[in-house]
Amino acid sequence: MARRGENARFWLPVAALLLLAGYSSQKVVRAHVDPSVDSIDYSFRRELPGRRGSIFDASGTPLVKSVPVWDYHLDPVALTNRVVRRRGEPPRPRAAIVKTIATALGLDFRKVLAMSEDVKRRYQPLAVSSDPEAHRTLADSTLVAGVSIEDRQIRQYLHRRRLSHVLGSVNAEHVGSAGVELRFNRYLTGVPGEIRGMKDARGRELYDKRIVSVDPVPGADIYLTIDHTLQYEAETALAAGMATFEPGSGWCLVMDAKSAAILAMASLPDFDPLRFGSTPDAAKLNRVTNFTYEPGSVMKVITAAAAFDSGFAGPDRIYSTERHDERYYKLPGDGSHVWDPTMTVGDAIVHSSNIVIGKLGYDLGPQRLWSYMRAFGFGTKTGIELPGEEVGILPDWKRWDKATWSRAPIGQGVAVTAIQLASAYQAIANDGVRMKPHIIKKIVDANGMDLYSHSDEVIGRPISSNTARMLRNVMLGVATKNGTARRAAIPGYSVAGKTGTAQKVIGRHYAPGLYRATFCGIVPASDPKLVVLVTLDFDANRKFHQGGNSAAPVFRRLATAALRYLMVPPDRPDEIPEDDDEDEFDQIMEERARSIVEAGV
Amino acid sequence: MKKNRKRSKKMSVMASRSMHVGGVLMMFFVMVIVNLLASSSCNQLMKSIGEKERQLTKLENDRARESARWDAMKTSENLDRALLKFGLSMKYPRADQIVRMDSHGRPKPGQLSVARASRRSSNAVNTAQVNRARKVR
Repeated sequence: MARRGENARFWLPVAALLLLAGYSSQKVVRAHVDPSVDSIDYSFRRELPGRRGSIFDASGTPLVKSVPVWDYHLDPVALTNRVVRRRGEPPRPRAAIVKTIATALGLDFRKVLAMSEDVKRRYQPLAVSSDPEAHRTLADSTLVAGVSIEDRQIRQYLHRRRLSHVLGSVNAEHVGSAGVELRFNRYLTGVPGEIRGMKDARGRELYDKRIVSVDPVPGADIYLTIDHTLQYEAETALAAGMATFEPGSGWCLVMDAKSAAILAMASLPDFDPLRFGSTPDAAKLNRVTNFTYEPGSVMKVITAAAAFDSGFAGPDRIYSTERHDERYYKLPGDGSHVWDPTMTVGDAIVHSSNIVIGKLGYDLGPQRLWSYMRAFGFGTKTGIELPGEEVGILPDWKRWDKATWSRAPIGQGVAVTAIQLASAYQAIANDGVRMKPHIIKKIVDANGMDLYSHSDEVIGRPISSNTARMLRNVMLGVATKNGTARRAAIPGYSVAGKTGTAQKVIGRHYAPGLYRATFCGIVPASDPKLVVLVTLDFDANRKFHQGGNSAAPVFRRLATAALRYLMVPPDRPDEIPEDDDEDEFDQIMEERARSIVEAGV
Repeated sequence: MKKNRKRSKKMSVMASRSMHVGGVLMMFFVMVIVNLLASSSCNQLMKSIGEKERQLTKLENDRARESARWDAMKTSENLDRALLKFGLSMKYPRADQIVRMDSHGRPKPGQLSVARASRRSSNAVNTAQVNRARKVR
């Protein structure tokens, strides 16, 4: 018995110890293997946002980026309840805290104070800032109370309003809502990553219990064909032109004459991409691609191209300038111009005679004219990679009445987009070969691999190279003292272009005194490098509403800057004067441009 | 004697049992201590991983913010505005203001700028000669 008692005295504590060890080790093992061992769920899942891709210009200069920022909100109740004190110092009064907040974020003190007193609203947005100094101050709990800080990413448009119609905008969920942001949202959007694991009782992540850790994949970067310096020149020239001639809106385009790459595209009024939602529709409209209008006399070049290329007439064919001719139906007039009794087709382009080109178009016949217009791309989308491109209006020739026969050749009764017009002129500049206009150079994924790379695409050959050269020679006369656009002339460079002063259609009638002034030019005409189009849209009667007086000076300013920036050598160097020969509009526009830059508009 | 022999046998059995149990207990405690040490080292590692992850995120964000700030400062508009602040207004040079040099530092032939410069200098020489001739007369 004594022996049994001794055994029991020994084995009982051992058994108890083993039981205790077994139980605790089982707990430890289960806790490692099964996270749901306790009733409180310490597991968590955190999504890591995939950074949205950036947008760059052709040279790799960033235009749009996603930037991490701090989003600050004010909780007036928390500010009131909490006693904020530095060690050994008395509590900070409300006004001092508010002053710290307002100073750090650059806000108005009275506004923040009013917010801090409105205790009914407990989540009041203060500001979004990327300033690390402000963050340091506001994260310091000894200085500030009642400010909640959230990390998030915003889309930063580095050039602010510049190129807004091309770049577009994103909504609050970072989904593209206009422009390239919308069209290429699929590529730009990143793939979010995630972390799954456990937290301790104080909410800190237990890194050794991380179950899933997937890194986010950033979205692809998009490289445009736009050159940011040319874009700046285009927008400055257009803004200066608008300040000088006071149209309601205006748009311009610089296109590479060989590849049809868009180097600059501007449309005013523009918008702030960060305030896209509250922007009026008129400002959201990209007038280069999404707006159709009667082009006016700039279409005369297409009529001449049809006549020359079909062999129907050459630049020397002579027409009578008499409007009332029995053979023609409802010819358009030439205003108060007094011409010689006869005029060649070439001179009709230089002087922009409606009567002569109207007669030429009438003689060509609707079918032939229509087919050439179609071949130049009118009535079809150019296929540029921007959302909402308009088709234009080019009714089938069978539906043309006799009035349209003589009006379509001078750019009435048809509607085009600026990009269609520039594309047609690009074909003339490129010896009759029409290339696909494009604005996307390449799309590169996060690993640097090209997802898409543009290769030049021929989309038509509306005219022969001989016709194109013949046309350019004829168009050279427009930007001279005898032509309609002497203000488009650039010293040292040959300019082949055409003016257009189209009456605006309001309802079903032409509105008296309202015009759209256009100049579309090819520079240098001897070896074309650029096609530049400028249109000013007048909402009210203005003195200088003609293409040669308003659009041409803007063209001259823009084309001069573009040629010098791209270091295109002059093809007529002997014509360069010793000093800059600026005319009155050049000086006014220079002053306006300077004040625009100074004001930061 | 017999009794003593019995007790000593019993004592030796007891001692060997205690040795076994002691060994088991020792192993258990060693394991516990090893577990504790490993756990503590894991905790240290975990804290350091967490700290490094936070640091990496912060540095990446700082870099993104700084690069965006720098990019925004370099825009043509801001550069122009900065120049205007100092009363400077810059234009692209005309073709006759550009001199392109070859690798030896000599101006390349056929340039408008060079032609104009040489024309100007020859005009100046001619004028000087004419003036000198007039003085001599």
